[in-house]
Amino acid sequence: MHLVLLPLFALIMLLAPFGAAAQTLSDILANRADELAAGKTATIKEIAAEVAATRTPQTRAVLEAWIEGRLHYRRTDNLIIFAKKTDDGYRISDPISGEDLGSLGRKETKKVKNSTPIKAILRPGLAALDLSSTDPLRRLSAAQQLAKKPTEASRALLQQALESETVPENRRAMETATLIATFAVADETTVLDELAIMGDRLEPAVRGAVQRLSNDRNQTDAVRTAADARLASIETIVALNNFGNNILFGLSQASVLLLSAIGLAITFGVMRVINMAHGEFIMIGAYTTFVVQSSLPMAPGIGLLVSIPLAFAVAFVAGVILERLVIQFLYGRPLETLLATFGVSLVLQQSFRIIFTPQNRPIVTPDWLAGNLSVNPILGITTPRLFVFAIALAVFFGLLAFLQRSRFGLEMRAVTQNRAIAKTMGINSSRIDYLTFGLGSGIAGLAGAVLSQILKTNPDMGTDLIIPSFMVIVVGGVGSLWGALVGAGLVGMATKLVEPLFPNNTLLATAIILVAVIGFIQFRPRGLFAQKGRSAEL
Amino acid sequence: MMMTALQYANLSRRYRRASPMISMLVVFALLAAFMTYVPLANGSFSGGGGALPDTMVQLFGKILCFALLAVAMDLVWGFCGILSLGHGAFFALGGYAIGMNLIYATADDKLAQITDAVARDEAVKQSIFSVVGQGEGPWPWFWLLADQFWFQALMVLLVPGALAFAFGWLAFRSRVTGVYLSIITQALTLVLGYLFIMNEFGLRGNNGLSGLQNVLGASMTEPSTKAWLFIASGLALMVGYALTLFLTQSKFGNIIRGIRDDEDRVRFLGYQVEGYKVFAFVVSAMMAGVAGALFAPQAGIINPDSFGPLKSIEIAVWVALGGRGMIYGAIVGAVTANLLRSALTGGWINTIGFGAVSIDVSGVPWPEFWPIVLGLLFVLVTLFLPRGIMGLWHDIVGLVWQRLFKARLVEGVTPPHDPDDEAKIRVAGTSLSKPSDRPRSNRDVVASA
Repeated sequence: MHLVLLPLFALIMLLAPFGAAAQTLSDILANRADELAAGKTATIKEIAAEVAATRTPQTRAVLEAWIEGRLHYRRTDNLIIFAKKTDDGYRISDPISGEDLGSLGRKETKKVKNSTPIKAILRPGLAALDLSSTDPLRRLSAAQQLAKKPTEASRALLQQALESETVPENRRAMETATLIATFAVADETTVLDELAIMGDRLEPAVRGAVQRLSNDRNQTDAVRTAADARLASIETIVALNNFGNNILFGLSQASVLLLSAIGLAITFGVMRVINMAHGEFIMIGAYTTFVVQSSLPMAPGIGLLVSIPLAFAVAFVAGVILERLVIQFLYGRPLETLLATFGVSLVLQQSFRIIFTPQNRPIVTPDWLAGNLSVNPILGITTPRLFVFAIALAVFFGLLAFLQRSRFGLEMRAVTQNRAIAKTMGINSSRIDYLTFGLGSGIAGLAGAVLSQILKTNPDMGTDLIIPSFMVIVVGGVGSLWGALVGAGLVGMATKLVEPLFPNNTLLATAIILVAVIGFIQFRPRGLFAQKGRSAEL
Repeated sequence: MMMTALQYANLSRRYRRASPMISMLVVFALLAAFMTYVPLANGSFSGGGGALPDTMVQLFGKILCFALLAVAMDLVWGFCGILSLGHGAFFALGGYAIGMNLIYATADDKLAQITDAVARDEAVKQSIFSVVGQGEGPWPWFWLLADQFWFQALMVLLVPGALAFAFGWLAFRSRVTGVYLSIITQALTLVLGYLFIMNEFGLRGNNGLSGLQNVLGASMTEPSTKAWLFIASGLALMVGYALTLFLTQSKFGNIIRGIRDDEDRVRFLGYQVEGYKVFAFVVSAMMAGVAGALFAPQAGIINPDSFGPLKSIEIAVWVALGGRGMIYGAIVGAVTANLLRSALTGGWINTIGFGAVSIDVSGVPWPEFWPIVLGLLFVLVTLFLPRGIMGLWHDIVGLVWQRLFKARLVEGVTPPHDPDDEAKIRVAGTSLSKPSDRPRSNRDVVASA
């Protein structure tokens, strides 16, 4: 009952001069200390509402302390105090003046009761207070808090706060909270008006409130019909936005696949070698990030930036070693190369499992990268995914330019098209081979460093990426960067557009994509961007 | 005058003719001896408790199944040049097919006190599917005849065969070859794995079919059942061996070897290459299915793990280790690799060295090292043993042979037993498009012209 009176009370208190209000808070704490100590929930709830209604500079601190259980009373004289826990008891201070009152033993003081029903009064009280705070973040969280427990009182407060609010984000949160409160407590005409003018708001909480209206048998038919209509209209927009989200996810997935497949595309194109250890080079890159970040715990952002070129270098060297030690002896025997590189992947995986344990290793997302880029409450993408997308495009176009403009690129393309003729032209094809292999592996390492931001870094991460990457190459065609781009786009998009059809089973979606790829090669056995001419035969 | 391919083939066949039969008989004799020794040493038919523990009988039985699987792999890879990474799937399908009957029989046996047939069927279904929370629904359609052993035994052949036929027909018709084909078969295996791991698919999801303890009414806990399954595995291996030998020694064998060495040329000669490849693939898949069906009751469980990419690729490595294109090579490879695995993962290695210099290594986490050893095996075998253990053996025997009987050899022709014979036939008559494919001994062929 008291809650209904609260807004009126709050309004009066707002108009009241601060001195008088301060008097009130200290009066309440002084006069009703015995009742607080007595611990009768009903009385304490009453006092809590009174405290919440005061508007002194100290009210906030008292409410907060009360919620957190730091508001105590001294057992000897029921004096209300702030108690800060120390090793052998409490350090106490005066709630109003903040004056230090020395320390008390553990048994000499007791917490003022703050059970859940009491907190249910304290929290909206705190939120109502924060609604007029000068800190915009505090106003935002207050509005969100009030949306959880809509009441007549909070509605009045929110409406009032809205009038002076200027921060757009806060306005939005307050409007949402007001709407929810209106639907919960206002009369039929107001609700109908609101339903008519509210527009298609996408916040899940608003949708929930409208849903409750349409389900509520106590509402009139007019309200329920209006709510149904509004809900249907919202659902359409939501479906559209969800579809947009799937497209965004598809693009993001495509960028992941592009990053992991592009290195594979060059090595396969030049050397006709399937590198089954490619996924493990990605893993090496991700673990490089982990090691760098662990040794620079103060600066994860710099660690990430450093680890990107470092991961490239580490994987480049590893790739060259693998080519020189194993693959160069297996040219012309692609199936044996497949087996040997699979063996290498096993060894790498198990070594990392032994060194770094099989668990996920934590990779820190630096502050400047953490976040969300959202168009509305549904449609949005996380910044790390955007980062991966940007890097994937940068790598793609960088590589394209490098292969088109540089001497090495020229020689590499020559070897891709016709090894024998390239050799007669004086190109050292063996050097091209190991450099290409290094480049492909290096890009895998770089991919790993970047992908560690959105994937889990564990010894199995390579295995999860290798088959989709191969599918990208199979669809796109070997030896073509554009093939890798288009292949990644198609496979990534298809995966994310099929997945929502089977919400309970992402594996089934993957299986469908794999079957689709198997079907696809019936028609384009050499992929979309097949190499043509004599040299195209494997 | 250069010797024509045909002359060369006739020449080498004269040397080869007896040897595959002899090698088969040698393998059969060894197998027969092994199949007699193991049950005797275990005392399987007199209640067990012999010097050889029951678990070893089971282990040997499983290894024989793997050997059959390797022979199946050798047929497609060693003789036809198709590196299938889907044989793990065919193996698992065979295991699942028979496992359905075994799990039904086991549950049926436990619920024998229910006399009403319909009620018992319902109870059996509940006991099988309650683990994935699907005890209430109807039987999945493909469980219709799971209670009939003969039907499931037929499925052991038909399911892998049909899948291999459908997939092979599609893939070979569109001329997907080489590494492309390998990757696609791996994708196929992965797809099946994803399906089998789903609870809704009707094969108990991740749990697989477990507790398979009832083979045709005989309990798997009896040593005699274990011995019978062990012997059955050995017999199946013999049949598989004979079948593969028959196929590869016939004209069919020559053609698939031709496909392995140069598919286009065989096609230009007017053979319908796809048909031959599909046939070899289907036969091989069925053999793999049988191996899986014999494996499942001896392992007591078959689950979606069997569809892992590693399982399939490992089979190829067994074959490579033993020696491709030699049926006994596949067996030697499978046995060697699996004994090595058991040694590392089964806690067999406790000391290294003899007597006074032995070091206690029981604390070393050997199972952790097994994937590394296996990985190194992949690399080292492809690099240093391209023709496998048996290839090495033949090189050694060939050297001795040459020393002893040099005079009897036609000028310059390398000793018999060389599985690269066919490659040489091809090489002798043609120019070389792929220099790296040229066998080492090509010089000999040209010299003999």
